[in-house]
Amino acid sequence: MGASATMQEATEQETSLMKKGLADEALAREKSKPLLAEYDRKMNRDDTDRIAGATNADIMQSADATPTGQLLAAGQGQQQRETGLGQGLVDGGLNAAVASKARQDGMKSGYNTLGNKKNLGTTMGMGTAASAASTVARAEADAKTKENNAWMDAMVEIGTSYGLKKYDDYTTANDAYKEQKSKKHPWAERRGDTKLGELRKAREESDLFGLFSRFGGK
Amino acid sequence: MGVAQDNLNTVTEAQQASYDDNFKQQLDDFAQSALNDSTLIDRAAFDAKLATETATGINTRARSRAGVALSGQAANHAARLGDIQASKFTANANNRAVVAQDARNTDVLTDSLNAYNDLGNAGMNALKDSAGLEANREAGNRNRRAQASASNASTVGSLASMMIFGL
Repeated sequence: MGASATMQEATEQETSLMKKGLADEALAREKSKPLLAEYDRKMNRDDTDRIAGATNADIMQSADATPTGQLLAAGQGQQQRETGLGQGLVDGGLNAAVASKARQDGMKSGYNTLGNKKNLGTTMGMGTAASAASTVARAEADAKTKENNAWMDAMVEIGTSYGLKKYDDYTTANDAYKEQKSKKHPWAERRGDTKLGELRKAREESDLFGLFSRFGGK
Repeated sequence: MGVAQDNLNTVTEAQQASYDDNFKQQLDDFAQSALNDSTLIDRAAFDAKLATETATGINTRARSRAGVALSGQAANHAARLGDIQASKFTANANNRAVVAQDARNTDVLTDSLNAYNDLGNAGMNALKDSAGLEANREAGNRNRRAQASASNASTVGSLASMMIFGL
């Protein structure tokens, strides 16, 4: 039976953190949706007429004018003169337009700031995700390398063992042949010494004979 | 689990409960009021109605300085003045209330959006932390798996060597 690694499971705290994160983000997004729609409506609405209308109505009333504006010009008999009310209405309207524009600009600026914050959050989230994926990928590559190296070492070890074993077989056969040969007449094998012939044959039939006789032979 | 972690868990749970009990709904209600609150307009309408009724009452009970009820042209004039004043007040109050209400609701809208944005960021931070923890865990698991495999390879090599020498 081989060794098996114990895997680290996610802790309850880690799971809870993930659930809370998902819930908070989803809640914020859901609750923001109608607010953003309202914000969009407000910031794209031109309030000039609305505010100017209210302002002008106030001006007219302060001048005791009726809605039809009979007091724009006032006078007695043929000596009519300006009341200044018309100028007041112009000024009021202009102020209202400026205020309306400033309000819209302020809202759009705020909206853009919020959008930038959200975009930054998204970018940072992508950065974290990429970093996490890279960490896992690097660990996977390291692990594969470690496994491959280990198996390569094992194969080399096996190969070395195999080679040593075969070399041992070769040297045993070689030594036996040479020992017998040294004890007998140089022409003994040619004269029919079968024992010596068998030893030579055994030596030549040993595995990797060609390799060992050339580079490791005695 | 360590004592420090137990303490942190206890406090975190208490904070979560406190948020749920005291703040969560409040924020939702506050944000919702940016869309539907008309308190200022309602108040102006109430004031306008009160002013109209007051003027009407004054008109019907109009008296001269001597305490004699006005009649004829004098009574009509007094009534007209009362109506004008009431009308001015009503229109003015309504105009200003509409603008004030819109300004208030816009402020609340902005505050609420920022609050929800912070909440969303908190959620994102939690998810980012989770992703980091998961990546570390996964990396550790792969490292341990590789170590086990390497150990197996070494064992296989040794066993095979012994078998070869034993042949």
